[in-house]
Amino acid sequence: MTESIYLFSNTRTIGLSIFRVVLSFLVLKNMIFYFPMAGELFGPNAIFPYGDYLILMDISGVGFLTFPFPNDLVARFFVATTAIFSVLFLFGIFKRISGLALFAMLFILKQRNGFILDGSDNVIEVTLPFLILANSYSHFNYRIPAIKKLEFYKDKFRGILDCIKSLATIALLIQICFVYFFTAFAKFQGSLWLNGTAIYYTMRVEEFRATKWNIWLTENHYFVVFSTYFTMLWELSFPFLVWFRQTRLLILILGIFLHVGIWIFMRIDNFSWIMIGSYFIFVSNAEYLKFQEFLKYRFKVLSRTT
Amino acid sequence: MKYLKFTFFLIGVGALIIHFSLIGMSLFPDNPIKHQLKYELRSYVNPFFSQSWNLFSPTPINTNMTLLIQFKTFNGAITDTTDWVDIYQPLIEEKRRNFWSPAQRLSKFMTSCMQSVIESSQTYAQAVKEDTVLLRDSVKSKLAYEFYMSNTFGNQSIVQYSHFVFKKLFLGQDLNSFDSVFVRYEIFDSKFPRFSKRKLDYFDLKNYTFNKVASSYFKTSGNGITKNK
Repeated sequence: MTESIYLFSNTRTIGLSIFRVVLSFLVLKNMIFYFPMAGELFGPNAIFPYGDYLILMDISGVGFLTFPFPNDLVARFFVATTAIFSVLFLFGIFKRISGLALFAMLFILKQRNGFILDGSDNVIEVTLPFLILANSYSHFNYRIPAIKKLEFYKDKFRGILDCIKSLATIALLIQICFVYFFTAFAKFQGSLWLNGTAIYYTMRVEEFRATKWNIWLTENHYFVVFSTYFTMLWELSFPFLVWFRQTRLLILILGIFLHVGIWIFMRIDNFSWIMIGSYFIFVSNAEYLKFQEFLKYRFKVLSRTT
Repeated sequence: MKYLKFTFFLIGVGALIIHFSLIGMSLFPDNPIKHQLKYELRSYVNPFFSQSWNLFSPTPINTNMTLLIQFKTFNGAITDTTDWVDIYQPLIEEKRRNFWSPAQRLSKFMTSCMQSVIESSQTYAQAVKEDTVLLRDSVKSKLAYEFYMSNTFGNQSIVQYSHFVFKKLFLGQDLNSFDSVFVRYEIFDSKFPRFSKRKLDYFDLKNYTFNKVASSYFKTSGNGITKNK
């Protein structure tokens, strides 16, 4: 039993690797967006005052991490470097080193202009440290032969390293559950959520009214009440039901529907993708292999009949 | 090695329990334990583990916000005042047109600024209610309000953003090509028909009620320093 817990991270390598790819891709996408306006977003005269950035670094007790951003060119260089590290992490090159560098750079960008960030950035920030430590480099990676030199040390400390990786994976799963539990907990305190009308407002407000169907849909009170209560109950049940094999698939599929719906009707994209990306970690390698076997079998049957 | 591994595992589990207990406690609504441990929680969670999962909760965003800005320029004896410019709506429209657009980030920036200003304004109003001197003296109260608001992150960011709007409005002309430039803004918080009146025309502004937060003029300059006029 204890041995299997030590090796827990090794049973989730496919999911962890997929999450690493999704997370890195979203960071890369953000950096591509930031790059043309890096000066305006992070430069010395950026839209968030430089003086306020210094204050924030100081009161956070991380003044030693203050990056000066002396001109727009350096801001652009910083964004480009972050993009490079996101590509390295995406392909699992330099593994934890590139992950750690990426985390530090994202942290500095957050402090420099936190007003442009949304929930997805917060998810990335709190999951990345665990993802760096977990066994998330087994798939979808580019192996550099020279790194093999370190294998000796790995063998010597394999037991302890497995332990760290497994604990990091468990922490990552708990962190995802925290996101849903606390957002549901907060919703259960809001009168608009409790009276079943919250979705009417969130879908109509200009910032999130992404389609012309939003008004039409929210005129229907059955849709409004059902979708409001579904959101609350699903979010509250996720942290409990996702751990059991019998309920996991259902809760994850419903989650995908919810987030795709949010993406279509409210255009909250990064948050939807990072949360869906995290679902892959809840599925074990054995389950992926079973699914692969099932697909192979179905294709075989299909090719025989045609 | 086996015992070492087990000991290490137990320490790790203990560390995770402590970590998530502290994070969980910081995420719960205000309660006596959170109040008692507020400094410890703050120093542990900030800045690396800070998290907030309150998007749309407890009260979902239920009003439309608009941000208008206006410039006053002084050049020798010539004074000019521009029309009010809506700097938020174009971003929303761009966001709606393109699934993958940087406008998302800028609109998020605007929303954060407006929320910061509105929240600060409400905090100030609450504080004034409890201050007998400010309640009696409207001049002092106005001055204190302007000073307080001018130092908020939201206000400073809007004024800073206005530099870029100014350049666009004046075809790339720099702020320094004028003797002085002042900017002021208005945030409209507009309530569209509530759920019970959902059949009313959403796009007819007659069905809306409006709240406004207006700033005084701020002198703008290229290095981001702002001053009240």
